[in-house]
Amino acid sequence: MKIIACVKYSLDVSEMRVDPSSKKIGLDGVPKRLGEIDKVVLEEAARLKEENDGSLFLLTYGPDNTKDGLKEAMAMAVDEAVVVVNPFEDTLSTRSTVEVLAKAIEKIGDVDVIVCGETSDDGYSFQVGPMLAERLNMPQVTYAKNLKIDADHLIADRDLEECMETVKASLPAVVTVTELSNEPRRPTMLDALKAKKKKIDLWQTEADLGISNAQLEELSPLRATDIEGIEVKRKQVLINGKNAGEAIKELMNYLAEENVMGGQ
Amino acid sequence: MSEQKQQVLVFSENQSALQELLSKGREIASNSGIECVAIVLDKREKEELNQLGGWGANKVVVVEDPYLENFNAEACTDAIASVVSQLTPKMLIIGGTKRDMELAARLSGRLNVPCISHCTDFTVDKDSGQVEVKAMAYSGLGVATYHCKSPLVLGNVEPGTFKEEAIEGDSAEVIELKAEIKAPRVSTVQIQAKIVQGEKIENATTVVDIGSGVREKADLDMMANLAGLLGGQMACSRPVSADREWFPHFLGISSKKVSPELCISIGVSGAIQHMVGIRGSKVIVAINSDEDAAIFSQADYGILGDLYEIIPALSEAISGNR
Repeated sequence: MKIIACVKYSLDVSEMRVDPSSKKIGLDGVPKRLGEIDKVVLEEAARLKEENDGSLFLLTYGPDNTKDGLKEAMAMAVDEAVVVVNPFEDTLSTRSTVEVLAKAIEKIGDVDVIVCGETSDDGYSFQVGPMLAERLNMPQVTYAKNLKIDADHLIADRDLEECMETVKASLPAVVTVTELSNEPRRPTMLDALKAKKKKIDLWQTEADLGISNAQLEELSPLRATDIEGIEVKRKQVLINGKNAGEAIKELMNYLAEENVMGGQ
Repeated sequence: MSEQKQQVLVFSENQSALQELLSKGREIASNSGIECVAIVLDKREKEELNQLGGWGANKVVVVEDPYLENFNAEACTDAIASVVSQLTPKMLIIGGTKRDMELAARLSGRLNVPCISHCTDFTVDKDSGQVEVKAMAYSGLGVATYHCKSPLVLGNVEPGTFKEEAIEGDSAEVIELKAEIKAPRVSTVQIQAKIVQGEKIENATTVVDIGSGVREKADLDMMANLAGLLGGQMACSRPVSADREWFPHFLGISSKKVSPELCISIGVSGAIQHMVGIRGSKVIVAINSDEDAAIFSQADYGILGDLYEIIPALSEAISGNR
């Protein structure tokens, strides 16, 4: 059984700030890291590998320094990794990303299960998994947990708003997980040492996958013309250094002024 | 439907989300001389379909097929792609439930058009007919503007984004369309409903918002008491819903959003993904023992302290005020 885990070296959104005067979102100095959800992706893929005596490929598309951010990931039961280097400075569009991932998956070949996050930490589009399934003409099992292989089928629980839906899918299939799907393992020192010997291939979009830059741009006709940060307009009154009784007294006065206590 | 008039097509698997989208669709349609058309893929009574007119649909397109059961993503993609090919749509607006989102993304691949996630507004330029879309960027930290050039604009909209408005007496024309739907490769084995108690959190005037700083499930009694005194309801952040399964739903970007008069966030760190769920509140009170918690800069009033002292004191003060 061959499993491919698609992960993203993502901007740490919690480090982004909105400049109150220009309303621009500051991206300078915002660190990139393997996303939180991507650890869940790797954990789900690793469990599937271990339960089914399979092999696990990590696949990612990003800047060439992505490789440096994969240390922890490589220690999570990954056998081999492929980094497809983005020829552009930024991700152009979800469709261009999907095209790159699809071509890379075809090149890796003979895949049974592809695991993606329901969304990325920084993009939050919720698009890549299902779009990849469509592009590869595979079924999709989204928001999944408790993955099991039963003969030539995949069984999983889909965590939806009002229900848990247990589904059965033919293989190969694309699976997406939510941040809640599992508790990612913490690699041991031994895992980390072993990971150093694992192979990380760097592939180029044009040379290795035959996708030209023009093609990637063609798949990305729609770009945001403007991105404006949302200014947080809150009073930010901090009640500090008081005992609970005094603090509450002060708070109650504020809330009475605001008239938000439902007639209290 | 042979006329040349273009349409704004609207779909959601969720009735309330559909109503919202139809009301927005009606506004778009009447401003730009196109039609607002609802797509329905589940079995419904004729009368119920007509009534979608009240929410804003000029027409309702129905596709019926056994494969569409449980809104199977592959089957729904076949159905909607077929509807798109049989009509002349200018826009296709999909809801923002989990099933809606996976469908919108698959459709984007099928129809070969970009999909804009988390749209917050659509405007059609009267002269050029070009569509401008506003959408959430960076997990809700900002708003992106798109000027769409593709002949079909595709986007998804989170529930609660638009206001649903019924106009009594308006009835929609119902049209049945045939679509070739292939046997999906995913099938439902079983469905287990999640148990939801009480009134809808979206309607609460006060929300007690519980974060990972609340340690034990038994502590929820204290929170429930506070919520009860305020006539409000409890909700939680994603980590609480995820790791502890105390609540089936959480507040945040890919889940529920509330806009109460008062939101008391207890032991909540203040990550943007969560703030998106509560930032519509009139007043936000934060109680946290970590002075660096991001929540304090996004709240109106913050108390730095131990919630296990603060919450009982707050409850006592409220009952004493009665």
